[in-house]
Amino acid sequence: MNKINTAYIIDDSHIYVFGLSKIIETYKLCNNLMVFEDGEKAIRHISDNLHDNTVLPEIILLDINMPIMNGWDFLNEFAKLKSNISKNITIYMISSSIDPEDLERAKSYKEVSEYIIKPISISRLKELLSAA
Amino acid sequence: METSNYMNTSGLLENASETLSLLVEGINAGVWEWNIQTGQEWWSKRFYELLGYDDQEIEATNENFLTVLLHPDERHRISQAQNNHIYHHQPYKHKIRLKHKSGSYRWFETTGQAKFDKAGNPVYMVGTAINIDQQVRNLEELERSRQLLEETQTLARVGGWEYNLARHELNWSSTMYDIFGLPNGQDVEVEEVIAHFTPDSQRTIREKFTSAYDGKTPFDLELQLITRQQKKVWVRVAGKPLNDVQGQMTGFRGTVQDIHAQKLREIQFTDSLHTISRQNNRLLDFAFIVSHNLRSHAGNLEMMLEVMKISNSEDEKNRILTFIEHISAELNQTINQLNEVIYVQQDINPEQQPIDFPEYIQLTKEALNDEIQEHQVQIVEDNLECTTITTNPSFLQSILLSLVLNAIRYRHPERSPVIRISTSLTNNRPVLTVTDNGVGMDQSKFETDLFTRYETFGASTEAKGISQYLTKSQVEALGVAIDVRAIPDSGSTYQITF
Repeated sequence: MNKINTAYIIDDSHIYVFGLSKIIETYKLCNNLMVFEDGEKAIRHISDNLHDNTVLPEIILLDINMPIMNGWDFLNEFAKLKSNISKNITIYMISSSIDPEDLERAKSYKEVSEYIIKPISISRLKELLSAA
Repeated sequence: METSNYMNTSGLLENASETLSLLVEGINAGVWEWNIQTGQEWWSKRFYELLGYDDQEIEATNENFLTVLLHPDERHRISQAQNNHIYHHQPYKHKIRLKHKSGSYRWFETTGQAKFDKAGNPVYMVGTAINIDQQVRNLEELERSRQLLEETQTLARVGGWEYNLARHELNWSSTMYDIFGLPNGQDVEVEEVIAHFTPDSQRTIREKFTSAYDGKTPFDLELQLITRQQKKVWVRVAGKPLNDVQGQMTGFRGTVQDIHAQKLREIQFTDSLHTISRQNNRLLDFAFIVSHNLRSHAGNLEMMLEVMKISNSEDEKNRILTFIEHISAELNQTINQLNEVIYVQQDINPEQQPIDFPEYIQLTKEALNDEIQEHQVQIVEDNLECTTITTNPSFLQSILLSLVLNAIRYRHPERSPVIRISTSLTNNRPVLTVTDNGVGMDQSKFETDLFTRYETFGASTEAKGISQYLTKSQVEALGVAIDVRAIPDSGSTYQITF
């Protein structure tokens, strides 16, 4: 099992990000964790490092509801960049929305591996970060 | 009988008597002759035949005619008529019932002419009897149908009409007059009839009638008419083109049905259905919002407790406690806001009051100070023609917040956001216009993003989603109209009509 090198958290909830980071650090689930509070900042980081596979993440934990650029907008922008990226990036959408519309919409993006409803348990997090 | 005689005119005159007897035999009528002096009669073979008798089967006398053949009800009238003819020279032409050998009566028309001597006394009388049974029965049937139609029309509140194009003539059945509340039988003109409808219906009539006329097609419309008694009534007006033998359109024929009761039920039903589905959608939205907002707090709480377990520093544990307090406060706020949502749901007309508009622009600027600083937003107050707007204060505030945040969110990457706010009066309604210089978000996106449920604008809490939901409900509840025009790459304009 290869340990994840880099993971992104894209979420605007400070509390959630704090908790998630703490768990990931404690269980050493990845070497390098990067946090973005909206999709735009993450996209900017990806497009600045398109060919640098050591900086690009293996996994993205993506929220839906965010200011400036929400999860859906992020996916649209990401899809445009994808052909320039050689690294295999797995995206999990993590939201507290149980609206079937959101679930269906997530399924329509082939970039999204899974839609996970908050809260996410420690064991589930371990699973996700080791599967990649 | 020689055919040649029959064929040429001179022969016909030469053999008048033979021609006459041929005529008598050939004609589809019974011929009779009455010797007034003796009362003896002569009836032609066909006369007997028409009544089902063999030739000469009963004795031909006026007495037998009056007592055996004639219907008892007609005896008095006909013997009177005979007298009036032979003594007072009145014309003799009457509809009578004669008894067939089978026992049933048949309708005949009998006509005759008496011959008078030099002294003016009647000598004899000759005449015919024609079987008009089928005709009379047809007429009776027609009358019966007419009455039935009339009764049906009255019961069903359906009137019939016919319009002749060449003569510009309109004919109405009596129920038509009932429906329009006009005196029965009065002459009706097309324009006068159209004037009985509501302006909307008048437009429809003219438009549909023109296309029915041009296309020679039937029409079927639901319209609202105003009776002479000023009562508004829903009617169904249907018609189809009439053609003559040559296939030329000569006019229209159709019906007008009073469907007021049905239509009111239908409208009521549609309204209820609409209300129900709207309530249903709101309920579903509400369920999602409740779930979303409570779930995120619960999730965060659970996560903080987990983290608390694995934390080994006092400092960190204290930080976690602060977070938990924060979550608890937000949870409380969420529940309060949910109460507010329910309040909006219940109160269709949330309290409205006159609001000083410039003051609210100032409030918005203050509330969004951080965002405005960060993105160097310029808010320009253009012409504020209308400084006071009567509406719900929290609605006005949330819509201003949404529009400014939206302008920041969809700002153009190459320029800093400029938001122009102006107000005007259009058709006596205050109109708020907000223009930005962003990327020009299109309207479909506007609908899904600006007022959709649990969107979060600004770096604020999850509970913001509820205020968005509140905004959507308020827009509906306040009867406000929102219009968006977006020009890609140059910006969007929102017009809110209060």
